[in-house]
Amino acid sequence: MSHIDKGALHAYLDGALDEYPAAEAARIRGHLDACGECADMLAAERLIRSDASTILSYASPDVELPTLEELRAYVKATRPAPRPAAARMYRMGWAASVVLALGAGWMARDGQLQQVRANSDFGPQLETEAASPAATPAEAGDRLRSVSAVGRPASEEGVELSVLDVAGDRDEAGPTAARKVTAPEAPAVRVLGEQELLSAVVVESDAGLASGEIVVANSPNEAGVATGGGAEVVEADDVFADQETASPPPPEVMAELVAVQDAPSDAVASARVAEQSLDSVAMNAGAAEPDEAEAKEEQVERRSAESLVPVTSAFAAGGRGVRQDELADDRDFEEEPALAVPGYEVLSVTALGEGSTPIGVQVVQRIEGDLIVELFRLEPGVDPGVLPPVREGRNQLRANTPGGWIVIRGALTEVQLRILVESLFRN
Amino acid sequence: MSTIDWNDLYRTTFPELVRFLHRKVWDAERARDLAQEAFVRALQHEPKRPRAWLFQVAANLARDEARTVIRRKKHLVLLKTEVEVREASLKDPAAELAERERMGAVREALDSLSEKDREALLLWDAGQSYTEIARQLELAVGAVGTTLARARRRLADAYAHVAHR
Repeated sequence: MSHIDKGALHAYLDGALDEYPAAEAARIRGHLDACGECADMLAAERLIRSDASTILSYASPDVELPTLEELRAYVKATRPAPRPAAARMYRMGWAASVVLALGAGWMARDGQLQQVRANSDFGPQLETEAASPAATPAEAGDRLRSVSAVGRPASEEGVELSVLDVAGDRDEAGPTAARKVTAPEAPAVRVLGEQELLSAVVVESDAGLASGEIVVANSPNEAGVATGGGAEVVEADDVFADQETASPPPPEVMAELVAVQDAPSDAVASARVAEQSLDSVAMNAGAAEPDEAEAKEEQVERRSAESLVPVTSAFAAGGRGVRQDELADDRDFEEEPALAVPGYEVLSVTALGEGSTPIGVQVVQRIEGDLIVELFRLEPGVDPGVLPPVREGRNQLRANTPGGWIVIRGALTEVQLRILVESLFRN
Repeated sequence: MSTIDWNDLYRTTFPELVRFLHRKVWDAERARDLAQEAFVRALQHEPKRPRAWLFQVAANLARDEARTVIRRKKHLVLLKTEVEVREASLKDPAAELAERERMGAVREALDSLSEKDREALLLWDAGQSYTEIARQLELAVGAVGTTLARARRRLADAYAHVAHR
């Protein structure tokens, strides 16, 4: 007759034998009644268990329990009601990146790219220049379409893909409509870390479709750009990566993106294949049990459907990630916000933009000591994608208000940034 | 329609959740805030297995917290020192010192455990069942007892080592 192992002894002491198969539980109980050796071991393990519980009790804080009603009131006051469709979308897990697409559309509007040069605190971030003319003359109805796909490994949250018509139909076309946006002081397409996410942006214009304007960042470890002339927009999204759980993107996703890159003349079709593939990966990703998966999805979702959207950006340089969150539902933010967060010292107020094209205001505030936050209030229609990347060690939260985007950055947690943003609206 | 008895769940789970979080973030006030945040989200989501869900979300929150707390460490230490100075003036200094030393020893002992052992121990101490722990740590139910047996022994050994140093 085999003796009882320590694990079963602890299950016995913990009253967890009921969670064992009934026959095994009965065997353990019966054996302990009959075996003196195991009974002695049980006594020894009981002491160890007791010691461990005592030790843990030294680290038990006094808990002041707020009432559930207070908590409900807080939820009601601060959190918008769920949006089922969006919630389902985010259940698929992957954060879709539309920031770049919006930025590209904004910059390309009216056929005139605006040079975006942040104030001197940032240095030049983007420069624009006319690109080579498209291989064929553009036709009327030149259209910019961006497909942005951002992936996380299937083991965690799956894939979400967003397709966005940015510029819609345009009346004017031709070579001058083709522009190139590059970031000369930083790699146009960033190199992503080994466990980083996958980001792909496909930009198509009718004028250049034959030659294929495709920009693909096909990570995990490298990013590629394929162009055939004509319009191109190159700026890989940063995507927040959970360093503890992320793994390289699924091979099938990579394959599809490579296919897009290799077949520029059929960019949209390829992109759609990629979309389907990504979607398929997402659907197959949830191997965990429903509640477990639900809770894990909450890592992303908690900033998404009801309150915050995990956005896009995150490239982990040197193993450290940058998180950007977006307040998805702006019903809380309809009133005119304060220029600065009340109660904190304002260090500077700087107009953003250049020449006659103001794009917003930057306010720098001191929270305490050397802890500062940057608050950007962008003009209506100005996409926050024009802002410089978030520096390492800082997080970002964005709110899309009727008066334009509000972006806050600082070395603070999501909750802290959210509190600061919300306090702008409590005057 | 939700069938969750939120009052009961809240009353029985909130203190355990705070305790669980406190041993991860080592800041009582922050642990309480994070526990509230987890409950706020549970109220919104109404998950099917709310207890397990709460602990999973709390673990995620604590992990996120750990990322930023390193950056804020200096700042936090300064703040904490001020708070401790204020609190110390209200308590018996000797008792306060002993309590802090004991807390520090527990923290050090817990930190010496493997992540899985530590997580299993904290989840058990926070009232999670073997089945719930198994699900969260992706273990077989039968392996939870083994993990706990090892974690408890190592915690006791590590604490004894730290406390008598």
